[in-house]
Order: sequence, then structure tokens, then C-alpha cells
Amino acid sequence: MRVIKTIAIIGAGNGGCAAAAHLTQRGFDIRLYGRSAGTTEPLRAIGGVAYEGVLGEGFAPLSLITNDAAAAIAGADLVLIMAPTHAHADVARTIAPHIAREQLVMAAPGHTLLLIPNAIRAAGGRLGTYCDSSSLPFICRKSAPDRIRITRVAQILYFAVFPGNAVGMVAEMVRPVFPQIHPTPSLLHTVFPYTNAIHHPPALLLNVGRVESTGGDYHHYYDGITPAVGRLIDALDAERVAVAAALGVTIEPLPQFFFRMGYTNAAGRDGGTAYDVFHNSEPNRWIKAPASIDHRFLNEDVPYGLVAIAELARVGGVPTPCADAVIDIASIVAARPYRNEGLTRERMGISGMTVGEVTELLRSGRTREQ
Amino acid sequence: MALIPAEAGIHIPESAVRGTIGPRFRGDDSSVRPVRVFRAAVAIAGLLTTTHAAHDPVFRPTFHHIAHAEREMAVNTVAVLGAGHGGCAAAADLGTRGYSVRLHARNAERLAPLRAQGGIEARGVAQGLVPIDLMTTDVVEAVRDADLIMLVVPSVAHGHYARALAPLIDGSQPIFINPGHTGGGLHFLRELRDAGYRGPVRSCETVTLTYITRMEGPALVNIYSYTKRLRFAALPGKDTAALFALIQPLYPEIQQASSVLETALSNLNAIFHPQGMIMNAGWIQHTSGDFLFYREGFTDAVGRVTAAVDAERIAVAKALGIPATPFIEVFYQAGLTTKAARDSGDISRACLESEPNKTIKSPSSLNHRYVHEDVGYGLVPLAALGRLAGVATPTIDALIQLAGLAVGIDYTRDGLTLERLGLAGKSPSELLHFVEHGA
Repeated sequence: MRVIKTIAIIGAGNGGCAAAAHLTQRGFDIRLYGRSAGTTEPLRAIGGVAYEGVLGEGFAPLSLITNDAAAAIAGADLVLIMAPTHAHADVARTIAPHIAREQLVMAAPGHTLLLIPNAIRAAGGRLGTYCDSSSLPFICRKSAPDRIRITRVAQILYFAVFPGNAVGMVAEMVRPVFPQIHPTPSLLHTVFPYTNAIHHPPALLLNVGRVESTGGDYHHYYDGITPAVGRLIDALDAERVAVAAALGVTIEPLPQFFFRMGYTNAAGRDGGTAYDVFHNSEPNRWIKAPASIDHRFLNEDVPYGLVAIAELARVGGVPTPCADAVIDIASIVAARPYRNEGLTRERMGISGMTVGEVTELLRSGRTREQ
Repeated sequence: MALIPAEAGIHIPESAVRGTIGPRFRGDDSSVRPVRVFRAAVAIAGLLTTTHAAHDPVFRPTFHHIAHAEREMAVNTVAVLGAGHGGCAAAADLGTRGYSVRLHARNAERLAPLRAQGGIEARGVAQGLVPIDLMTTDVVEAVRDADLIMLVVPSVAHGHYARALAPLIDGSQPIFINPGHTGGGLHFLRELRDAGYRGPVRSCETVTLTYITRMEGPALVNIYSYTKRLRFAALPGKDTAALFALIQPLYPEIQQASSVLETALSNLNAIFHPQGMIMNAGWIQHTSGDFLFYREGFTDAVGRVTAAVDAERIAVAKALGIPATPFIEVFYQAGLTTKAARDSGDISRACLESEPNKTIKSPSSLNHRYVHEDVGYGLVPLAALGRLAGVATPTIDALIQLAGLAVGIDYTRDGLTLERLGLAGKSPSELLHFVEHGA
């Protein structure tokens, strides 16, 4: 088993900088790739990234900060993609020519099923093993172009490997990097815990007039998630759980999941509704609403969240009237065809497959014909 | 057209008018406009004593005694079913104008404050205390020998009244559903049939209420104005011209539409209010509607959704061969927005520049007719007609879904579905035949 020492972080935004700081602190050799010089230049000027927050305050020197993917990737043990989901396809094409079969590629967050592996292979990349996590490992925000503020390190990261049958060995490799990983049988299991998909879009959609009229001058969770919004979130959650079940994946409903993640208290969990969950969510109390509807709550969480759920539902033969309604109205609101832009079955690499075929592919890495 | 109260300025004892033969003296002189005939009736009534003519058999010819055509020459006696905003407005307005009004409410508490003062206190178009001849919770009493049965209730109450009326009607009394919204007449007919009534039905409807009005107290109604350019049609459609002639003296602003499908498809409240409510649901619930519904609630994005809904409505109409005017055009023609806004085609701007709506606050709760009525009896039948016509209505379907989730009501089950419209299994040509002939 290969021991991970050198890590190429692909993406120098919030997540990439947080990972660079955290993993440097923990003794890994970090190369940081950013697509634009505008992003990397302030970091290069100080030779690393400054950090503050739950990891303390300090400076993480990086061995390489570059706009050259080849230089970052060459010889790295782990290629760690830290990019928003809507950038996954582009990132995959960028790294494809440079990766070697023995390098492990991980996306954190992934939850895009086979989008990255297929895009790498389609671009001629020699991909060995791929793995992903269900969410970003940090809650973080850049407080300056060269400084990352980390407010929370995720306590649980659902973790999956492609092919799924390699999960035991790969999880052992990755655990020194992310000790909080929770290995699951296949990439399907990291898709469904993406709970932003079921609460960000409805909370924004049922407050569209307020966001546009006031520039988001209210608290997103405590003011914006009223009982009506909560009912819609509950309905979306029920669809998420049902679709997962149809694909053989058991997931926790939102109240239990949020409680375990530390995002709500026992009252929030036991109330049993999304309204209770978010009105007992101390970490979210003061979060302001987006200033505009042109925001990742729609632009990312609809095409890469709800669309994925709705598409997987079609594989599982489960109706998703609520998700469909939110997707359709959100697409008009944002004037973007989210259903086409998003994670279709084709982009997820499961076009035309049955549940059994999807399961087999994700387990073995091969379709039945192969 | 000048209205009686404006020139009369005096109280006319309606009981004297009821049962007089004044209007029926019109004979064959069809050039005499009904309202003029009506004035004559008022004049005659003024000369009569206040004898309760209803008890005088001489002055009480029943429908079986007079010819059908003659019967429809004019309306004297109106049974107003429903004593909410619209019902009280109609009772006060028509009462002031000399019609004999029987006002029906389902529960006595509603009528108690009216009975206590002997009628309805009116503001606006009508003024002062308007005595009402008969205020009753008994439908039998309300509709007996009425020249017109006018149903002025929320659409959700249509089923109740259909069941109450089924044993009482024989097809001779026209029924005016004010308003019918989208498919009110079809729904009412279906409910009558379900209640076992097999005889002929002559109903007519306007798309929205004939008044802009609000109850400002338990027995006080303010009638701000008559609704302008109100589309009107009958079911069966072949009766439209006759019923139009009958109703127009009461409501000169009505305009003949080709069929109840045209009125149905011109229900602009339905394509307008639901997204205003749904896409501001959080704001409404968090602040109890403390914002300006049109000026602040109809932002660019909400305007885009409205445009999408309107496009689906027009597509459904087109597929059925029904005329339909774009929302923004209707909004402009109704004097609700500027020409510049109309020309821009921007619905959000049209709302922003809507002078009459400038200060209108949002409803304080989602539990409001903008949702219950405009979704259940607006968008749902619109989507149903789309399904029948083979036209996809994804935006409307999505709004129905979201509205239902927001308020916890399954409108796809409880609203006016094809089944409840009595149209299940019909082809477009069967639909058109049905609305024309009622069978």
C-alpha cells in the first residue's frame, strides 16, 4: 500500500487553501494548483497560506504554488480536487494529461458520481483509483487573498471509492490525510448526504422576492425558513430518502443527520421537521441571506444536487414531484436550464442503466458486458 | 350607463317592485334597453302601495305561466347566494338599484348583524343603509320564484350550493356564477349531476367578481367600483347571447366571450397571484406580509415565472382555438400599468409601474384566496385543460406542487381536476361540443 506523503491540491479557493493549511500543519508536503494567477499570486508572494480559526493562527509554507497542473501533479501520491462541483468537469480535463495510474485521485467534495473519472478518461487520462467525499471537509472562507479562516472541520466525511470493492484498502491510505472519513460501499453513498441540495434551493426560491427587493437583508435560516419553507424541505428530504432507498442506499433523514453533524440540537432533531431543525441551529443563526439570486444556493445546489436526485430517481423508478417543481421554477428564476446543465444520468456515467447495472458498475468498475 | 341610485337618490321600497308587471310590459320592443324598462318599473313601483306583492297571486305569475322568451326579458328578483364580500356587495348594489334581493347565507351568524340593522350599510358605489327584502339561511326560500339565481361564493362552496339547489331547480331559472374563475360553471354542472339533477341547466359566469369590494365591518360593505371589461359566457354556450342580454342590465361592464373556456382562460388572477405568494412565502410568513405585494413582491425573477405561466396559458388557449390576450396587454388595457411597461414586455416592471396597486400590501398569511382559489380553482383547471389539449404546462404544474407543499394541501387532488370539471376522458373536440351544448 502506498503511503501518502505528497499531495497536489487542485484548486486554490476557500476549500483548497483550507486543505493546504490543515494538511501542511499535519505534516504533508503540499503543492497547490490554482487556475488563475490572480488567485495564486498573493499566496506565492508569501510562499504559502496564512490561516486563522479553529486550527489556531499561523502560516503554512507550501512547497509549490503554481498555475501549472503538470508541475503540481508530477510525483504526487494524492491528487486532491478541491473545487466546486460545477467546476469538476473542467478540472478533470485540466488534470487528465498529467496523472499517472498509480496516483490516487480524490474529490472533496465529490458527490458527482462518475463525472470526474469519465471526464478524465474521455480526455485520455490514465486514471487508476478514484475516491470522493460527500462534503467539503471544512467550513471556511478567505478573509484575505492570502489568508483562510477555518471555522469548522467536518467531523464526519462520507467516503467512497471507485471501484467500490477497493474501499477497504483505499480508506486505509486516505485515513492519515482525513481521519474523519466514514467508508461506504460505493459512490452512490456520497451522493445522497449532500443535504444542501434539499434546503438551499427551496429556502431561496420561497424568498425570491425578498432577496431581490432587499438584497438579502434578513437571516437566511431563522427568518427565511418559515413553516411553509420547512414543509417543502421536508418533502424534498422524503424524496431524497426514497430515491436513495430505491438505489439500495440507506440514509438518515435531515433531522438525524444534522444533529449528528452538530448543526442542530436535540430539540431540532426531535421536532422532526426541517423547521425545527433550522430553528435550533445555533451555527446558522446569524447567517445572512444571499444578496442576489445569482448564488450557489441555486447555481450549484440545483443542477448538482436536486437534478442528480431527480435523475437517479428515474433510474430507481421513484417519482420526485417536489424536486422536479423546484428545478423547473428555479430554472425560470435564474434563467438557466439547470436540468441540462446539471448532473444528468449521462454526465454521471449511468445513462440507460438499471439499478442493478449501476450497482455493479460502481462496485466492480466494470459494466456487466465487460 | 347611468345607474339608478345616482339619479334616484331616494330609497325605493323593493318589495313594491317585486312581482310588478312593469318590466314585462316591454313586449316585443327589443330596442328598449332593459335599464330603461327597469326605470319605468321603478316609477310604477313608486306609484304602488308597499303591499307585499309576493303574496298577491295576481302579481305573482310563475315561470310556468309565462313564455320562456318573455321570462327572460328582464330580471326583477335576484337570489343572491352567499353573504361574504361579493354577496353583500351584490345585495347592496342591486337593492339600491331597485331589484328585489333575497340574500342567502349558510349560517345565521353571518346574517345576524345584517338583520340587526335591517340590511346592509354600503359605501362607495352604493351609499347608506340598503334594506334587503329577505335574508335567510333557507335556500328554498331564497330561490323560490327568483328571476335569477346568483351564486356569489368562493369556488370551494360551489359543491355545497349545487347539492342544495339540485332538488329545487327545473332549468327555468338561470344561474349566474359570479365569479366562475376557471371552470366554475363546468364544476357546478358536474356537481348538480352528481347530486342527481338530470334536467336542463342554464348557467352563466364572469371570470372574476363583478365588484371591487371589501367588507369593512360585519354589516358594512365598501364597493369601490364595478369590475371593468368583464368576460362573460354561458354554459351551454348556445345560451350566451340570451343570458348576456338578461345580465347586462345588472352589470353593463360585462362583455360576451366565445365560451366558458374563454372566460376560464382569461383568469389572470390565477396566472398572477400564486407565484406572488409562493415566491414570497417566507417573507409573508416571517413578517405577516409586511411588504408591498406588487411593488416589492413582483421582482424580476417573479416576473419571469409569470411570463412562463402566461405563455403556457396562451398555448393551451391556442390549442383549443380559444382567443387569449397576453397578460401584460390585459394589465395595460385595464388601466393597471403604463404604456412604457406594456411596450417593454417586462411583467415585473408592469407591476412596479402599476399605480392602482402601488400601496397594496401583501396578504398577511398564505392561508388566502390568492393560494386556495387561484391555485385550486385557477391553476389546477388550467393545467387540466392543458392536459386535455395535449399541451405541457410544466411551470403551472410546478407552482401547483409548490403551493400545495407550502400550505399543506394537495391541490392536484382537491382542486378542479378534469374529473371535477366533468371533462375526464374528453377529447378537445368533445370538450368544445360539451361547452357549446352542455352535454
